[in-house]
Amino acid sequence: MGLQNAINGIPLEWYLIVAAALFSIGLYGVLARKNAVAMLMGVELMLNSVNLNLLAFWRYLAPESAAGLAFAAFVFVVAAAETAVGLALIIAVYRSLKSVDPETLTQLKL
Amino acid sequence: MTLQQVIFIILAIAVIGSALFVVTTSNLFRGALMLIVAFFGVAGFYVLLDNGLFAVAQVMIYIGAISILIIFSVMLTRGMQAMIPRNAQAGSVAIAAALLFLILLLAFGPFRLVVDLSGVPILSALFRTESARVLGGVPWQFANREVPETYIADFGRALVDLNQFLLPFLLVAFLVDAVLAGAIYIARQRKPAEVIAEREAIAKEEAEELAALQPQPTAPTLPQGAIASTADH
Amino acid sequence: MNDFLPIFVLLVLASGLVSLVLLISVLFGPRRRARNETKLQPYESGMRPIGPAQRRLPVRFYLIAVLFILFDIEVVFFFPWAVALRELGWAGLLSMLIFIGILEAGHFWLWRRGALEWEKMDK
Repeated sequence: MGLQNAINGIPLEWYLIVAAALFSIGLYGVLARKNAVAMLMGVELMLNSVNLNLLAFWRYLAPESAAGLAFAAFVFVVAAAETAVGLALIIAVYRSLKSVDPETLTQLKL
Repeated sequence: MTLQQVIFIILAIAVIGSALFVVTTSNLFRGALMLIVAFFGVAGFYVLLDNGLFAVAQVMIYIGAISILIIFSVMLTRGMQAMIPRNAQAGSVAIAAALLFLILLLAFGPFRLVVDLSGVPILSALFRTESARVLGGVPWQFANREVPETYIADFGRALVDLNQFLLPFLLVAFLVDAVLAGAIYIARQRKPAEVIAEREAIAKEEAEELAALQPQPTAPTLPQGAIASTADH
Repeated sequence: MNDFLPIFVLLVLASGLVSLVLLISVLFGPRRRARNETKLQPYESGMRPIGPAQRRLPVRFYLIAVLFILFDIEVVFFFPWAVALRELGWAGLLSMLIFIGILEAGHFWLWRRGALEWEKMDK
């Protein structure tokens, strides 16, 4: 444990703590915001923290394996895809309701 | 403290600080700009992890594409500059997020809390393996090796290798195709009337905002000697 | 990692220079408070603003930005493949051609459907 496994002088735990903080902040952003675009920003922060974890584990535990890199690359693509579709939906909702507050989306309620 | 550690701490402060700004600001445009700072900081972490390829990819995809999309959609919808920053359950959500951070900190941080679940009746059955039963006590199998010089080429080889990631790689292309078609289909106005209606709505909003910008018709009292010709040209 | 040290130094220098310049202008600049509304207008020359700076944009800009993602993702996957191209040979070229083919199929479909037309939607 400790500094003997540190890479560039940084132990793995530092990355895990930063990623955990980023994930928690993103979770707060997703759940506590009143605006759909702001919620999407929270999702982006959470995806970033997951990717940071993936690449930190790749570096510390399996630097020769391409699997860690491939997973992180696919997370990139899925994040871009999710943003594009999510924002398109928000724009479509805004056009018909003139609002981006998710609490106004109650058309499916009986 | 080495230079890398100093850089790490600077990056961590920048990332966490800008992320906190992003989730609390009431001006969403500024929030989107601070999101770019957070993305850039994460790219810096990738550099510290000896992964220049992904640092560049992070800058290209997150800053170059995703942030642009977010900024565009902020500018496409009105009233984002001043909005209510949080909803009714924000307080309890903040407590839940803080708790989550605490749990993650205790589970994976440097002061790992080791909880032995083998004595607990139901949980010990749920977690089968010995290492999973001791929460937080999982020893990482550190490699203690340098990243190979050829890691980019290795990654490229793995991507087009049928036995490795060729199939997911091609599926990614299909995903991107579907996303493009779907996003454009959803966001696009299909009727010319909608385009005209949007244009008129924007013109109306701008006229309103412009009226709010103009100085009041009751001319401000210019002090003696001030430039008199600023009134109307 | 050391390859990126110049970039970090550049970042530190750039942000340091900007904050220094701002600090100097705050310290030595004239600090007269604006006394009238004319002084607070965007253009002090008397030119009236013709619209707000942060205006709402038409949706068409978003559609172009979404198309940009396609090429962005292509490039990120091109790079590691291009580094390994020589050892991959024809098989690597073929797999990448399939990848490009799938993406370009979507691109051409959108093209045919008129997603790239700017003026057509105006009629």
